[in-house]
Amino acid sequence: MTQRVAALLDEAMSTLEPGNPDPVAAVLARGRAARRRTLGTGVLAVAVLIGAGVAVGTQVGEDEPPPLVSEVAEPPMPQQVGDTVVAGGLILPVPKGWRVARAGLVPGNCATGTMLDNTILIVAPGEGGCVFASIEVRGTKEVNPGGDLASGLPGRDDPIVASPRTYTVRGGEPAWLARGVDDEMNSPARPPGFRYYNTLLLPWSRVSVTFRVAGPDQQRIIDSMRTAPDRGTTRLVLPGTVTKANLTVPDATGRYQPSGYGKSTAPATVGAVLDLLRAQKSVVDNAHACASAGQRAARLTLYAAQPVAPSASPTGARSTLPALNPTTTVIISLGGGCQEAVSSDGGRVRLRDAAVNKLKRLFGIAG
Amino acid sequence: MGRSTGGTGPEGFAEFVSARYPMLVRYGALLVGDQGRGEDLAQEALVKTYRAWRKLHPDGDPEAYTRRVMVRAAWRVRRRMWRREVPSAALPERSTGDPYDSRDTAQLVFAALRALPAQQRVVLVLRYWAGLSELEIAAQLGCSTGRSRAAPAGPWPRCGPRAAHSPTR
Repeated sequence: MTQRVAALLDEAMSTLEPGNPDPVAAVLARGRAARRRTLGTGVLAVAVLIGAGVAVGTQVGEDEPPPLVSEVAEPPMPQQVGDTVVAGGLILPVPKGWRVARAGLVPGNCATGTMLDNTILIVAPGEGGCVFASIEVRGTKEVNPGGDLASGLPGRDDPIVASPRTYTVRGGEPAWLARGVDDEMNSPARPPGFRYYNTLLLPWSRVSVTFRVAGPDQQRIIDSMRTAPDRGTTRLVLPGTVTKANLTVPDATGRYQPSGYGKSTAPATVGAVLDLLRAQKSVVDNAHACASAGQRAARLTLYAAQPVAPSASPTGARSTLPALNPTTTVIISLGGGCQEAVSSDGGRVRLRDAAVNKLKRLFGIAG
Repeated sequence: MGRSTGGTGPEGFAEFVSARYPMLVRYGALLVGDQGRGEDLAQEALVKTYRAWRKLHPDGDPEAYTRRVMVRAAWRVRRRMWRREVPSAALPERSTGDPYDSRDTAQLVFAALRALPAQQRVVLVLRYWAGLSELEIAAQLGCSTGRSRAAPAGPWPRCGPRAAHSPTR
């Protein structure tokens, strides 16, 4: 029996790989955080007396300039590595019995219906997918998340797009799911033949995962994912100049109302929005990120003044990609003890209630 | 944008962590029955190793020290804040025939480990996986020998816990 128990424990642990790709940095950051907490115990009393708060997270230096969107990384080419699919920082285990196919190598066409069930299709940037693949993993230039149009809000020029569900994938990379797994459209009770559709965007990896399975299955696939992000330890990466901004905030019940939407093209307002975001220095590293799908989320869209130029390729050759849609999305997970802002172009910070309220006021949204 | 490493700490520390981290994470996962919390446990222990590094390097045994810190932390788990968290690795909604169900025996093993009280789990891992004797288990936990005589499934007295960790040379 002893040997059997030992063998089972061995087998169980042999399947595990650390989620953190940079353990030295994580340990040192933990040590620094613990030291700050120790110091903070004493400092807190003083801080309270002078009416100041103590921020949570990694404070960066006052003199460190906030990062700008300077170049756009090439979207990655997903690849099969052993029994996983790897794309950017995303590692997606292939379920047993499933297969992985390259979009360009799929025989025939997709119209044969079920041939791509239980298939993860990997799609090169710019290639088309297949409407019958259960899961598609693709590199994407589009890092602004999808979402449902908020219905029942007549009389507006711009459609109001609901915020995505926020996830922190194991390993720390943020991900945005266009429609909640518990949404009616993802119900497993849908009739046979119903075509499910949902997308999970990992903006920092520039990877989009399309699900054509029901919500509970989507959740389990997301749970099986892990990431090895190479971003997350900076302040929010934002455009240098913005001509228009809009903010959508759901109400306390998660519904979208006209009063929860605001937009501005006024330079003073847009400038104040950028200043507010750039002033946030409580960086959340990958080990401490906590945004989850159970939270409400606000969506801030920033329209940059200039197109964002593509970067040079890793080989040094100049990219032939066109300039991208100069839009940056900041998703703010609200409340729940985990108020984080994540930029589609990189960076993640913790926000205090005061900052969120100020942002809302700038857009004329009541607190 | 590069990954922030925030330095590499004192000489030899980064090499030690890089080399032993995966094994420590796996060990932590067994001790607490969950990979995420196991990694958390490993990192917390490594912070203590970092602080004791001058006494552990180059003549000490940093891995043994780290493991002992992990064991004692896992043993005290009931007093820790993160004990209150509900383990999420168990998948509540499973339908038959799902390919993810058969993905590993590991899920079953970890679910079984999580079902044990923390202290029984620690003793089980030390005895059956690490192959330690009662004496060695007692030493790891900072208990008297008599206290470690109980079977893993039996009731375990409180022992070892708050003593300061002294680096092993």
